Amino acid sequence: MAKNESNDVRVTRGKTERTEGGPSRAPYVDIYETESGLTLVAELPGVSADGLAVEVEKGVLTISGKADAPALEGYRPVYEGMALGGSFFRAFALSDEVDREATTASLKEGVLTVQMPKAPQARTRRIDVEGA
Amino acid sequence: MPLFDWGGDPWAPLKEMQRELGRLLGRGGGESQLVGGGSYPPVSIYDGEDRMIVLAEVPGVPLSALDLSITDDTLVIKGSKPAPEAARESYHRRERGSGDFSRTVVLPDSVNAEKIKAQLAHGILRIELPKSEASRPRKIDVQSS
Repeated sequence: MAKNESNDVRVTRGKTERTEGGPSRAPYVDIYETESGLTLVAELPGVSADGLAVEVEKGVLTISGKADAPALEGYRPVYEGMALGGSFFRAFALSDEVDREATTASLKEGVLTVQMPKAPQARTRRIDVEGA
Repeated sequence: MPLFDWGGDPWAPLKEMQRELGRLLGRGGGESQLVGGGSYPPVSIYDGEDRMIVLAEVPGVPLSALDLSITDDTLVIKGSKPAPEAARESYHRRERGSGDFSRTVVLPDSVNAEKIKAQLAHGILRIELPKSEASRPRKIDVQSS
């Protein structure tokens, strides 16, 4: 019985290693409101557009991906203060006021900007009632 | 009642502690980041045969706002991270820092300052520093008599 338990632990740990290869980072973000909508700015150093996924599903905005590992063949690390080539993940719940269809994203200088326009108020507020 | 709930993985509490420490040291996480003080930007240093490489994470910092200087074996990375244009009251969440920063890196060898190359891509600054002649390992031919 005790043997089985240790096997279970090993399987679980194996899965963790395969999917991530280390703990994933949570990128630093700013979220601010403008007149036209919400803007999210995330710091993603070393991340190219190919290694980035921005998804909106069931009212949740997800940013995930993997930073490119720099070319360092033949070099010996002396000090490593950066997490290189690691995966990252962060998710945010969106309010209904955001127009998900019109959401756009751009990546520049290792900074992701996601623009989420406000949904037109008319869609939810104005109901024309026709008289008979 | 057990003192610790190990939850299957006996290393889980240690991993959690490591994550929290990493967060304090600025290796990612949800906490706000100090710019201008502390150790910003995060750097990594690599040693090769004839050159060294220093990498620095500077997302959102344009090339024009970076200033590098070298004296013998000491590299100084200075710069300024532009503040976002949004008014303070409109923030829902604010974790990114802004402002001036300076970080001094002492390299394992002295550098040939004439031949330093630096490039900025995807918010990562990569500085290649060729070692000076004096600090480079010299091959000595052994002649047979």
